[in-house]
Amino acid sequence: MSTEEDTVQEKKTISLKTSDDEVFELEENVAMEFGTVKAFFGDDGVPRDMMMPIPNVHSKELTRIIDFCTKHLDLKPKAELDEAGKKELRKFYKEYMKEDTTERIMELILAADYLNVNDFLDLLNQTVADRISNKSVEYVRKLFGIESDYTPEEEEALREQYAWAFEGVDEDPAED
Amino acid sequence: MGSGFSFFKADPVGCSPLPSKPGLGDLPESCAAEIMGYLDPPEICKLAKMNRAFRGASWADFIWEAKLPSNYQIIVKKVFGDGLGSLGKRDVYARLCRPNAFDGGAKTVWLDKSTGSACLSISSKGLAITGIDDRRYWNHISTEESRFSTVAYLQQIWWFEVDGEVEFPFPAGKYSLFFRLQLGRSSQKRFGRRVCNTEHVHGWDKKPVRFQLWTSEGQYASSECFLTEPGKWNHYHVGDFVVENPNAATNIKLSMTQIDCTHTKGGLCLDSVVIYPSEFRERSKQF
Repeated sequence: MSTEEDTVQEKKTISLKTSDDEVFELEENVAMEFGTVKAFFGDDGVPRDMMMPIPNVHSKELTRIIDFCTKHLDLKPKAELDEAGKKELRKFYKEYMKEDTTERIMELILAADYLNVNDFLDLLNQTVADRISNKSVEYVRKLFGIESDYTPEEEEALREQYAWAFEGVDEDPAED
Repeated sequence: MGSGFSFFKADPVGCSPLPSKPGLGDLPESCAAEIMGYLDPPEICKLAKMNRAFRGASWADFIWEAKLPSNYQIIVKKVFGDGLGSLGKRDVYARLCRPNAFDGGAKTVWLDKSTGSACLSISSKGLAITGIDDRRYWNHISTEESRFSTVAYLQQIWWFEVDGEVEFPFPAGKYSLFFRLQLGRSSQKRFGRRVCNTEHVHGWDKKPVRFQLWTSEGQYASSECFLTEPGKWNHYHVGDFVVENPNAATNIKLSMTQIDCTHTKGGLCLDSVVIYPSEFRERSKQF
């Protein structure tokens, strides 16, 4: 993870300045995983030694995103080589967000969305989905502190509108 | 993806009192939609009831486009002709999940709401039953026990043969075909008690019944079994077939025969032929 590491001589680096005024120097290949950064520097025009401000992202989130991208960049080509590589990548996806609170994941989603880090965003979204899958609406509301902004009449109308998703199509699936 | 999408921020209605901690309600609608895309349709609809922002996110076309079978436009054309106009993808999905009649009403098709896979049923009136016009052998009777509200009842016959055919653009996958049959004629007596009259049931224990199916791709399956369990509707498995190309309609021919004329058979209710994705058969074993 490059925070205040000196630039490695042969490797190109990109500088990013976070909302809390910390400057990060990343290897170019890691920085280019960020769609926003890639778009900023483009194919021509903006010189690579220019520092890019990312005022919507805090250093805490950036550190984690850099960590993910670095590890991911390392594992992806191995996964294309053989089954063992694939297994390692799957394990990486499975374990990487295990210890994080849902709150933390939300913060990371906002940052990853801003920076356009697609692979990390996919993992974060999937993680949230897994955590709310098969839970009641009340549970999910409480988990994220959301209140309903529907009137009781609207709720009733919604129930009807969505009935198709919950009703059976009669007949049990095949029995022998 | 979040790429290039303008950040439409959902109204942070009723969020936690600490604004520094982002909740699900603070997410841009596009992100909420991405998350919902990983859930299955009933869950998406369930979460749509949380608040307006979620409801908005749940309508995103890209979510439902991914849930629809890849050949859904061909299916829509087959079932609705050009009748669906410019419905959003969520509505298309919901419409296809309802049983929709086609081919003159004797067949219905629907998508399983959780998986988006296609299920199909052919009514007894959509099958070619030998002797159906002779009331000494067969009669159509009304009943609530059929999704078509009618079944064909066999009193007795020597030559038992039922043939059928269906052409439909099945999404790619493996399917199982069944006949839904019952030995005995059931009815609802007073006080709603179900009663089954088995006085005509005979001959099914002498020789097995033969089931067959053929596909336009050259696949063939057959099975033989004795019909059993009077008074109960059973799905008799004919066989399986695989669809590889969803862009061409698959034509299935099927038949059920018991043509050993040394004995008569009767007392059979024939409801329908059903085609389900094969994985449902695995699922139902849990029941």
